[in-house]
Amino acid sequence: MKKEDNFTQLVKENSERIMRICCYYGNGGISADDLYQEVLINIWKSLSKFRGDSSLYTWIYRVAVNTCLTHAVKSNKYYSTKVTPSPLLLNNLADNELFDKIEEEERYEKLSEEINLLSVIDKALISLVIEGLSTREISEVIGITEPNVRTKISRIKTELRSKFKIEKK
Amino acid sequence: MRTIDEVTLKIKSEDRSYANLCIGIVIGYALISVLYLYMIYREIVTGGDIIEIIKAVSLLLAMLNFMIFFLYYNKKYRYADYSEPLLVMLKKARKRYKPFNPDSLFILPALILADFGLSFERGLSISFWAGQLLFFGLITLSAFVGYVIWIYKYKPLVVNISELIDELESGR
Repeated sequence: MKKEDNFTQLVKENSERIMRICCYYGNGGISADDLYQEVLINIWKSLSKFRGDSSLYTWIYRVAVNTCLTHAVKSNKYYSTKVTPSPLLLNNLADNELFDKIEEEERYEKLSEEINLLSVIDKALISLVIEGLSTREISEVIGITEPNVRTKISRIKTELRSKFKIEKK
Repeated sequence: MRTIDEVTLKIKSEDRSYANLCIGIVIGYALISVLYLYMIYREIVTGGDIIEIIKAVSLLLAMLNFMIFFLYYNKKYRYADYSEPLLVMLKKARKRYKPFNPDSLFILPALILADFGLSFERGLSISFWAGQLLFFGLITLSAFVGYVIWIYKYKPLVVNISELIDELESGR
């Protein structure tokens, strides 16, 4: 299959996933649509380097997260980037020990606000948790060890809980 | 939002114009090299001045060195690989944006050869040492200007990237 056909098929299959990642960061001086195009350009440039060492799914997240974070770092506005996850995706954050299922609109908005205040790295990690990636997959995207991913996510959740103080039902 | 076809067209057009630019630069180096090659040939055939031959050979080698350096640098740094894990990509970016890259030392032989060749230039009515001072003065000035530009343009980027790397590598 030609590179162009490969690219078109890959983008068609993953456009929603890519767009969601772009929406998390699309507030730092660049729109989500523009970020989406940058991600596509970087997918095109890196496509020939995909060797199948990781799953295509993880690979797409790598390119999307790297592109968005690079833009945030270059524009020096990364602390003002915004995470705007949907209530459904936020439910992936729910954890029996830390969070109950987030159903109420008010709770969702408050948690979303707190996530927006996280550091850029914490935001990247939590956005991947919201996307439903496993610890191993997050480790492959970010490039740190699985225990380090677990430690960081646990710390972020603890921080969110302390600020958010979700009451268990 | 643009369609995939539009984005693909835009990417291919950018790739093509960048490839054309690279080809143009390489052709420029190649033309100058051919010119020096012709000068060497002419001097040898006509039993010309050995000094002129040494000068032309030095400048020819300098041009070839500049061309190889350009091709190497272009291949290595043209694209950041966004498909690598974030930590790896950030470390490579930090290395790429540092002011003194060890890879830049590959240009040193070209500069020495160019200086050596130009030191035989008789058209310049200045002494050898004044010529050396002028040549290396210009190189030092260029390096200084480059460093000042780096401080304003790239240093904040390197600081930001280093902070992200530290945060990722911290155990918390």
